[in-house]
Amino acid sequence: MAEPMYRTLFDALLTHSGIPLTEAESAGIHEATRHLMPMLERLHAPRPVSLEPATVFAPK
Amino acid sequence: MSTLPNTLAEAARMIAAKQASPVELTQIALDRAAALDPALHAFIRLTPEVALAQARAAEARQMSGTLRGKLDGIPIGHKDIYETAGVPTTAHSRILEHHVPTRDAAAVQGWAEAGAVMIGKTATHEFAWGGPSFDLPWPPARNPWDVSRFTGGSSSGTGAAVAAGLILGGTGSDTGGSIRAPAAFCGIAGVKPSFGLVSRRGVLPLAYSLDTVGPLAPTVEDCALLLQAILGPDAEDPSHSQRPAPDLLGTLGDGVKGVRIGVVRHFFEDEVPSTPAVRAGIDHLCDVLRAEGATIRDVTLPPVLDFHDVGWIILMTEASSVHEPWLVPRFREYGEILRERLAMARLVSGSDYVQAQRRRRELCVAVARVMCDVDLLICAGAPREAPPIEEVGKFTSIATPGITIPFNLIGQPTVSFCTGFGEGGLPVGAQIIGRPFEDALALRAAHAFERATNWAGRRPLI
Repeated sequence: MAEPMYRTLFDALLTHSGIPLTEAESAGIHEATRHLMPMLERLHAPRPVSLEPATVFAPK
Repeated sequence: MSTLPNTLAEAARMIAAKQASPVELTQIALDRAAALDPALHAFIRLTPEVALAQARAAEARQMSGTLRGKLDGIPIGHKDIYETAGVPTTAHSRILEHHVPTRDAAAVQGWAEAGAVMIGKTATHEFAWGGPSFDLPWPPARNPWDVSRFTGGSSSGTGAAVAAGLILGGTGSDTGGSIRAPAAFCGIAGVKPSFGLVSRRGVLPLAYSLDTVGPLAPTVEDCALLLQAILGPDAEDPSHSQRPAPDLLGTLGDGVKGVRIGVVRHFFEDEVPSTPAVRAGIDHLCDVLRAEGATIRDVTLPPVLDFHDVGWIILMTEASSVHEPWLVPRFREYGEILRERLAMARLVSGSDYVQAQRRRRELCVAVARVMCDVDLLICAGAPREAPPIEEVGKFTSIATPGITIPFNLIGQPTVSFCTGFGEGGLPVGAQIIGRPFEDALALRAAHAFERATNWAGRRPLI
């Protein structure tokens, strides 16, 4: 099973968000980042720099 | 008559022939809802005054020979994220518990103008994402085939109400499978239209670049009738393609002779293992469509995990932006499931989101390339029968790849319908996917299957 998000990063991001989590909620979400982290890792696989996102601004 | 006809199309024929009265049908729907909803929780609220006023108007048109079409006098429901003028629209959430819109959503307006009768507002997962939740002001909807089971979500109340015969159609929304999962688990039909085909004006958003709105109903034909009534450009919806309304009904009965179909077998056999009944349903569907003249072969798309990653990162990020105004000041008012999912969404960065959108483009191109050689795709509707409602986990949809979100990501039309019943006696289903804006062909193929078999329009004995 994948590792969860680094705890210090996790705490920093949620502190920055301002969301008032209890310790139990925080622990549960941190554990569930085991599912999030592999998703993010796969998304950052290298791809051509010219490949634009699907939602580019298109002036009309 | 003590129950509604099994299909919307049949009710429409009876109304046209003056064999059924809109007021009588409405009263049956209201009585049945009053009797069964305490166990099903399909409705957030019934709207008997609105319903009976609309039904009386429909009946006057019936008597004067001025019916507006096949939806006139038909009892329907609206998912409680569709804004309804003067009727609370709560999103099944404390956050909007007292929200009373002043204007109807475009789809609500479309069906009302066609004469449909609103029986009530149906349950959803909180803001179409957080559920099934047991800590909200209203309980989650239950599956009429077995009330201990999940309906699928998030259009859970509409799915339950249609399957139980409380209404003959209803609205749903589909961001990652929220029309198709309830259709599959409840043994009915549902359509996730092409992105940009149907106006989303007045429908509370979950994820801007994935959300679609569409119908659930007993059969594919019923869905086509409902969908046709809400097509056409809407300058007030910036995501609408502004294309003219396609004719879904004129070709619905034309069958599939010469249609080329690809089966995305690796999705539901290898990558998201499905039960024998689900796979048998797909084989049955292929046999029927082949006998009707289609050519069918297996095709290969990118791995389902690629769609899963991209789909969920986009959904989470966009949902997080939707909820930004409430997230901190009203965090405790959300139910536990949505609360924690939204908190997790704050861990995704802007760079992650853009990478997901870039990968999305690659996936769209990959699917379009495969669909140069086939006109339609087939996939299972859900990998198994409806699970027990208590077993649906808070992060299950993120932890486990699904077979519905790929088709949100690529914006293509998808029809979900029943292909039989599984080992546990509950429905199983399939999806037929068309190219963008070829919704009519996907409906035609699904209708061809329903016409040749007897799975559509069945109701549980409740």
